[in-house]
Amino acid sequence: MSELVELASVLGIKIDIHTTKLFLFDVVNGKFHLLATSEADTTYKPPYNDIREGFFKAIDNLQQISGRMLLDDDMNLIVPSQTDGSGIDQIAFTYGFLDKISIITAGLLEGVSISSLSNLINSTHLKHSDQISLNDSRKIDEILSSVVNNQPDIILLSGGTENGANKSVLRMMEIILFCIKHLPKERIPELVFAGNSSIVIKIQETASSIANLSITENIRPTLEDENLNPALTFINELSSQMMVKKIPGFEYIFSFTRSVPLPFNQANGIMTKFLNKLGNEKNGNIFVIDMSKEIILMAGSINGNFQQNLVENPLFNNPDHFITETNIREISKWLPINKEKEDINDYVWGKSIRPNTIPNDKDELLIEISIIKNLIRNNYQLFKNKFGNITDNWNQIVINGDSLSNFDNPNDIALILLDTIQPKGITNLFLDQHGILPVLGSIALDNPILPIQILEGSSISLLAKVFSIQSKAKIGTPILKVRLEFKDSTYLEEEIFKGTIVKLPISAGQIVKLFLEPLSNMDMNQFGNNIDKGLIVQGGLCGVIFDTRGRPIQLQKNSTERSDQFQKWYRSMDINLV
Amino acid sequence: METLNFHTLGLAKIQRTRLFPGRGDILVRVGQKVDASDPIAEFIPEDKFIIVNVRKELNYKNSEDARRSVNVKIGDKLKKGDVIAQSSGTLSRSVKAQNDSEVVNIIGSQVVLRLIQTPKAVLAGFESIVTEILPFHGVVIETNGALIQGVWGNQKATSGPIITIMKDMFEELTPQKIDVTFRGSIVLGGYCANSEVFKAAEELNIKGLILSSMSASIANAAINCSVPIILLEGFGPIPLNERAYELLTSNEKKVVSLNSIYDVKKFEKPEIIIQLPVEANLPVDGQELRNGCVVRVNSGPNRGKAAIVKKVNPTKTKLQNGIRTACAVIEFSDEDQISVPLANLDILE
Repeated sequence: MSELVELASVLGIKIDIHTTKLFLFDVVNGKFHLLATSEADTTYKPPYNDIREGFFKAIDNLQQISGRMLLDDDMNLIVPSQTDGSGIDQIAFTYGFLDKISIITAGLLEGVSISSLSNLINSTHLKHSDQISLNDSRKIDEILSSVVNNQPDIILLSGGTENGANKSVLRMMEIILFCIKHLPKERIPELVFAGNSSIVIKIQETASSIANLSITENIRPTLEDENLNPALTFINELSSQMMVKKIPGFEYIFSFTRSVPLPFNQANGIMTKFLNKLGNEKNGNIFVIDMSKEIILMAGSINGNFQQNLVENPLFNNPDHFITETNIREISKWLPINKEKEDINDYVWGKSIRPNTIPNDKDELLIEISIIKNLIRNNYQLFKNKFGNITDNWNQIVINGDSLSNFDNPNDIALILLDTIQPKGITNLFLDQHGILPVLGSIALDNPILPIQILEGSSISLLAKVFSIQSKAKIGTPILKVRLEFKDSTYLEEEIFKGTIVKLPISAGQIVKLFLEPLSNMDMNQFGNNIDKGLIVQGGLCGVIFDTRGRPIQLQKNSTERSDQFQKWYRSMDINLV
Repeated sequence: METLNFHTLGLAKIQRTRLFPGRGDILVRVGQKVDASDPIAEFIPEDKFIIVNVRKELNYKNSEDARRSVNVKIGDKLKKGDVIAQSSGTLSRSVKAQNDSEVVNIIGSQVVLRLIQTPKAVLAGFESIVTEILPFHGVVIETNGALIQGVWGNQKATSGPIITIMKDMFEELTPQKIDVTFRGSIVLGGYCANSEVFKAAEELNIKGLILSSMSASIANAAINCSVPIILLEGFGPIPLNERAYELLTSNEKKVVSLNSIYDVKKFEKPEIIIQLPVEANLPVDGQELRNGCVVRVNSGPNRGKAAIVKKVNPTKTKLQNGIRTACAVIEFSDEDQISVPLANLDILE
């Protein structure tokens, strides 16, 4: 409780190259609550070239909304909070700015230090420019060319388990130093060693006169164990110092924070792992999608094993890449209306030059949704290719995204998730309306109570509980009888047919008991154990959904039949197509 | 929500910094006058290195002997076939340069060579004066004149007299309208949906194409066309906005610079510049939407139409398609008023 009082008011700051978002939390009736949010364009671009301008604008908004003074006359944040109600006790900062710092990693063997290096870099927002390994098939000339052309900010060397390999590590260091000698003096990178600690002195003797060398704990102390946290913390501190030089205004915000600012993916990672632990289901699998204007982040925790993939959002940042990646046929295929290919093509190219445009009518909105689906589907495939063995059995899926924030109908968002991720089994779909997850992750470092209490509130809403049913029955045959028992002892029974989506009328927050009775030969184990005793379920914004379309969803080949198929599904989801 | 600014100005000071990545040389001096297609710097985007291990190549037993056989020194520029190292004795052997290259380092008996490659040019993009040299990085160029920024271009630059073949802002440019008399000119056309237009422009040596809009189905043909092309409005049949139309047609036959080289990541836009001998002020960048702003509708049935902002609504409005977004009330020249999402407006000032 004393911690609660000490850090009573908290300002969460979330900045990427496009948007600056602020979140004001405070204790009300003994619990943390989100009091207000504020948003402004980030002023990283010309003519401002300094993120403070956008930050001050967002602060000004927040002051007006909350009625609380946060800045003093010298434009400094008032820390801690004052007796007159002004100021703030804790400031946490999470940021985007993907690929602004480049790193080259060097290690010995695939499956050992190279794998650990990949896992480490995957948790950062750094641009992974190259990886040098002991079994590198390239000649030294090519490695030299890569280092000189990439001009990395950091070179990270690992390798050798504790008291393991040393000669190979020293040889690798020699290669790195040879390359560094060919860089201009002002571009000499920071050199970090996170390998076999028994050769640290030799490493220092070899490298210290050529580059600024730092030593951190071995990321792979044994063949079996990985120890990423010390190196990750060190890389964070180092990259925060570099961001100060690369992003004007970063230092100002950094100076008010208690902990080192965290990049979005790390902050999101903290929360994904945390949500995984919170999950009621044993060994619950959680999948988080963050689709901000700057990045597309997909993070999954599968039986406690955490993986994430982070890419730039091509729609808002790389028009050429967006056009190359956008498959017009795929967009057209998932479009519930008949639209000329020419019109879709014009819309897609138009989006590449003006990504922020708002759809004018329903047709444009449906094309827009199809573009979003295409982006999610492509990136989910990337995630699955990268990590393999992904079963699509997600117990929870959480999504947030700037592109989704304008949608008034939550059914649109639920259907986007069902059509793209195509989860199997029982899944809770959540919407993080404000993109609060990374902010909570950055706050958790100093204040672990706040995220728990905020998650109990309404910042992240349950969209729906979804039962995705696998059955070999023919389309149109009844496969399941569902009985809903309400608290007032009334009940509702519904037959579920193969190839449909059924949205049961359970309002948000309403709790019912649900019984499932198979009507055809189907594996009831797909819903877990003890399903015959009934399930207590809570309705989300879109109620409870039964999706019997099968996995993968089979679309009709004929466009008219496909259109009919979509009409039925959209109608079931209460989405108007006109 | 940030509103995109597309300058459409009768007179402004236009100052642009042309930077290059990698190693490069600046080819101009301060005060020099340059044309749109003049190279102002050249650069090597990616260096390639070759390491010659003399000891290994000449089969020496020790590095000292190998080192003594090296005939080159750091900084030497070698032609293909030049001798790098030669062993002594009657059966003397040598190591020769496989490519034109420069000696950048000699470590022990290893000679590090950097290949000499054909550099890439940085074009000025518009008729201008060089006002500043940024050593090893780039050049600042400047001029005064009319400035019209586009939304898309095929990454080429040129200059030449402008000819208008549009009778109004809605006219489509077809291959039949491309005439031999346009040779050497920059042609102002409307909407283009036929890639044969690009072939005709190439065959007739037309210097550039200014289009209001284009069908996305021919975008790849436009990218591959050797004639510089700029789009002022977007993709799909969109008429040219009145402001740009009047500005361009009033400068008929004057020399314009068409620069469709731009990089979204560097916040650049393709542009048309018509040099004028009058000193002007720098335009204001990053303007925010406010009452009285001249805007263009960039989406929906009124695409391409210019208007004036009458009121910016501070709260979100629910559109007919269910989307909630901030909107502004704008007025067209015929005094018709509509409400449009802020995101669907470009500032034209």
